[in-house]
Amino acid sequence: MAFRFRSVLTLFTVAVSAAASALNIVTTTEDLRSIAQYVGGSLVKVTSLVTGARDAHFIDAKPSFMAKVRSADLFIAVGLDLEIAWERAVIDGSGNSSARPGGARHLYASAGCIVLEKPTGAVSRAQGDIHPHGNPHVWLDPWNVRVMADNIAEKLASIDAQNAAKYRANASAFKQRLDEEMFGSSLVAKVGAAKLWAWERAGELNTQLRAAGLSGSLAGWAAKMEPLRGGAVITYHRSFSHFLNRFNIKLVGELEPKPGIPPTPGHLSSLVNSAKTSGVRIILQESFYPTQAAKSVASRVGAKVVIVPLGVGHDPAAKDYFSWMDVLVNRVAAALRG
Amino acid sequence: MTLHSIGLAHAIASILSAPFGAGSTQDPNPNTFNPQISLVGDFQLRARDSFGAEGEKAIFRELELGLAADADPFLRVEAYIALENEFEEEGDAEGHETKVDVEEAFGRYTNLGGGFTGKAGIIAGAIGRVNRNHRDQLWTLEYPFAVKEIFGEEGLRGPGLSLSYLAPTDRFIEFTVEALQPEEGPLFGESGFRKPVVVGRGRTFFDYTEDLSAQLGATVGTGPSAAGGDATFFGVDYTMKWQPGQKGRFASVEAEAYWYDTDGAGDGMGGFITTTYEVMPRWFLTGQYDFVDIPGADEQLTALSLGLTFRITEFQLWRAEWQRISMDSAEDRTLFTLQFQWLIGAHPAHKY
Repeated sequence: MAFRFRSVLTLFTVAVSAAASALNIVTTTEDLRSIAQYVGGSLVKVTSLVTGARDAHFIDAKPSFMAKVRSADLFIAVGLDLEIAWERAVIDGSGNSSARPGGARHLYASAGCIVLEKPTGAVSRAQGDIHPHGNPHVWLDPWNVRVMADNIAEKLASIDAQNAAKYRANASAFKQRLDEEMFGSSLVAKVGAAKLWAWERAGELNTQLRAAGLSGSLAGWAAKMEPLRGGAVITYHRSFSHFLNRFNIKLVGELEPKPGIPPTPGHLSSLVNSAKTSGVRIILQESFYPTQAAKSVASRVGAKVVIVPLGVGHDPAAKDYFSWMDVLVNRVAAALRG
Repeated sequence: MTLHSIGLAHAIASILSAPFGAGSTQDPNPNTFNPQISLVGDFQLRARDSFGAEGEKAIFRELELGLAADADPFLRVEAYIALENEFEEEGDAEGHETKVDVEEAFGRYTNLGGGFTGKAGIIAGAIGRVNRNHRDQLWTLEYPFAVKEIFGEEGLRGPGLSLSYLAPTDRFIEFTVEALQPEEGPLFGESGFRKPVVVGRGRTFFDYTEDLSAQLGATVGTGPSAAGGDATFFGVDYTMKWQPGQKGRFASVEAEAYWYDTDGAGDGMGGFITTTYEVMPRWFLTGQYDFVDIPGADEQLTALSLGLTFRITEFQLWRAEWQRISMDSAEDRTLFTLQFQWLIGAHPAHKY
């Protein structure tokens, strides 16, 4: 009895000390929370400031965010001005100066990602509420998420050097699973993830698989989206560009005439003409935008409105990065197939 | 090995050797060290005034220039300088003139450690919530009378020092102590380095649900009275916001109340409650009830305002506001004013 009590006490003590010594990571979004949790494993405790289905660009700098950042060992934001309206106010209000951009405890996870739609030439708000560094919704491309996982692992390794190998191993395991979800575990085992990604990024995945006699081996997200390559969609806001680009689906236009500007009748009319010409079959939209404009265009074009989660936590089934991408891929694939 | 596979090998090698995480997400920019600059324009048209005050009916109410940048690794500097006009009132001796007003200009230390932050310079006092907002952040055309008639036309602002402490708790709990030298106002008289206006404030925050949150604060202050002797005040403020993720849905309730006591001019109180509801995307309906015992005047003022705001984007709005002002010593006054406000430059901060 005494032995059992001591064992329980020891387990309890170990659990409490592990929780106490876990690095406290605060992320701006739930996508980052999920990636950071995979990379940090049991060595970290991760909290996301933004929760639920909401636009990370339009968030108030809530004082409760400041309380969370005050004790953060690492603050992770997407960057590319996604959180420009509130990130700095939260960090400054927290008094945690090392979590300021450029500080030892701050990370923009999008560093090194493929960033689409970087404006060229003169940039002004006459172009709408644009992001001067490019489209910040980089997590919608699984390739970019590999980069983000590595960024997080390296930052954690710099903060907690004695566990650096563990963070890097966790990031590798995360990327391994990501590759398998993307291409199928059997194909990854046969060909190797690096080669598959190289083919994919060069736009030669199908050609190379056919040449290697592996046409039927593609599985995962890439296989589900494969029949849809070359399809055309409309979106509400320019949020899905990285996802559509990865799976070679054409973005015909947005319901917003310019980023951040609500749909206008004139713009929707011209969009209807483009949609008919391009054979648009679905209108992709985040759950937090009104659906009237999408329904109006859809009825005039003969397309479907598909509400999809923009990130982790935007749908009850989207609990982590993998389940979220499953929901997104399955919903888009089902809509385009139907 | 085919030519194609050699090219592919290079592609794979370049992908595998690509540095992950190197550099910044922001491109190098030749203007990197320039401060963030913003300019707010506020144009107002007084369409109706039941007092029939003569003078200009349309004014450029305010042109506010904002500058903000990190001075060095330790200090962030912000400055807000405004050119201001006011509607001319009947009997104004000075006539209509444009004033230059330094609304705020302070350096802020966020690296004091232990949860402490500090500010020095011209600052908006940490009393309530509205006092720290600039005019373009209000749901109404002007600050509530309860703030203007107790603390001054622009609220309690002036040169001073501020020290805040954020408690190391899961719930947000912050304490602030300030020493200010505001312009002489209705409540406080001439203050100085040896006899400043001292303010203490505590505030906390509640996330009731993902969509519903609130801030509760209490403020106490003391300083030299405008009527001689000392003046003290105590205030409470509560702000609740409903902000579901769905675009086009928003509601808020803001209430503040102040009790004051002066050696020379007796005691009194003032307060306001403001409610705002987004009736349809980008259209906001605001109602405000406002009352104050004017310090030293033995008179109470009450005001009721109704406003409709069309926020076209984050960078411009149109507003129509009807206001009825009642005072013990005068007839009721009714105003109807239109406002056009815009912002250029740095992206506006989304303060709570």
